[in-house]
Amino acid sequence: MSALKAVSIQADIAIATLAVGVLVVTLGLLARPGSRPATPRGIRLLWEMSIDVADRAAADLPDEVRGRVTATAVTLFWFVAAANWLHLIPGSPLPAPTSDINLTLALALTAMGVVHLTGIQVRGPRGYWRHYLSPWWLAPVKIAEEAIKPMTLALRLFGMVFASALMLLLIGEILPTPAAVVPHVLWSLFDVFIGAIQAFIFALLTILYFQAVLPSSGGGLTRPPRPIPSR
Amino acid sequence: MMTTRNFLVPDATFFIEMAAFIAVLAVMSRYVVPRIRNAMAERQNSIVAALAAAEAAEARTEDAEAEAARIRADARRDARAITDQARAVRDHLIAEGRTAGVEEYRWLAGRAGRELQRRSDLSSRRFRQQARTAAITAAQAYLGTDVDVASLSRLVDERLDGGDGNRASPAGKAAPSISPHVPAMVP
Repeated sequence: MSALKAVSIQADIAIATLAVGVLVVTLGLLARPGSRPATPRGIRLLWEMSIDVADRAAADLPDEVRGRVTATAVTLFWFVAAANWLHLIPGSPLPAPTSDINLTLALALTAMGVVHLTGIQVRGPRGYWRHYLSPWWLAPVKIAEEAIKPMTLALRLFGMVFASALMLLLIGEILPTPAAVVPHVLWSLFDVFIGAIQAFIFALLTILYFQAVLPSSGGGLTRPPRPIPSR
Repeated sequence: MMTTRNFLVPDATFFIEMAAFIAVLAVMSRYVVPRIRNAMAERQNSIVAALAAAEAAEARTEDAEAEAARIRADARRDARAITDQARAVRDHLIAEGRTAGVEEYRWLAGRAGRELQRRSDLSSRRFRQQARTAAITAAQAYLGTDVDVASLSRLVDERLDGGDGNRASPAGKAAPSISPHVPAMVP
């Protein structure tokens, strides 16, 4: 009986996460190019912008994994952004799922899992583990760093969104209702900005972690100039 | 007894959320992002191809403009040569026409002079004949006898060839030749 009690599930967080997942997948499927005109507009333009930014950030990664890196980063960005903004929808009964450590930790561990699996796939198991041993005396530090990375990813996001949600709660608790409207609106607008920034940081750090475990094909964070013919 | 949850410790919700995100990641990685990336790459390729085509068209335009400039220069040179040639032909025709005109004028003037001379001679002969006849008739009427026609005719001719005869009969004087004046009238 005590074991069953230990398996506690926060229904509102789980439902909010599923709602975010459905929302992101739906928007992604709507943004897919079909019989639509070639010029991107609306939601598809946003998706293309995010994919382009991720592609540029992953420009120096090997071609065979760049698609996966871009897909992971873009999915993380939109998932985290939608999760951050969910509680800002007026009348939304769902909390921001990223204000709970479960989702942020799940996102961080999944991202790092994809990073390590991709590193093993590209370098091979032996080559992948070998890069932890060069030099050998730094191996404990590197291994500890690999453990710290998902923790920092998860706690950074969780801390920001949790604090933001706490601020909104405090504004509502401390100030009387008429006086709380303006600070609530202002903080919500600031929260939109913070939510986008946190999502971008999460995705960008994931790309950097990919770059740390994958061999570089040259270049840096910026993509080399596109081959536009000179006029 | 109510237990409070430590918000820094994950619970079973973690597994649900990880499963949900992995599902989302799988769908996005398989059905969404690759298609959008391919569409972007196709569009970029088409833009690059269009730019290359525009550049080629621009190069063709520049070549065509250079060819047009060359053709214009050739045409100007040809036109200039044709104009010079036409001017030379014009000058030649003018000179030729002037020469022909002068020659024709001289010929016409000569013919007119000859005609005047012929008519003057004819009038002079007629006048002499009439003068002789009148003199003979008058002499015969005055004398009442026949006169020496030959002598009287010679006398009349001598009188007509003299100074008084010229005043008395303009036709008796030889018509002046216009030929000496012709060259002065030629332009």
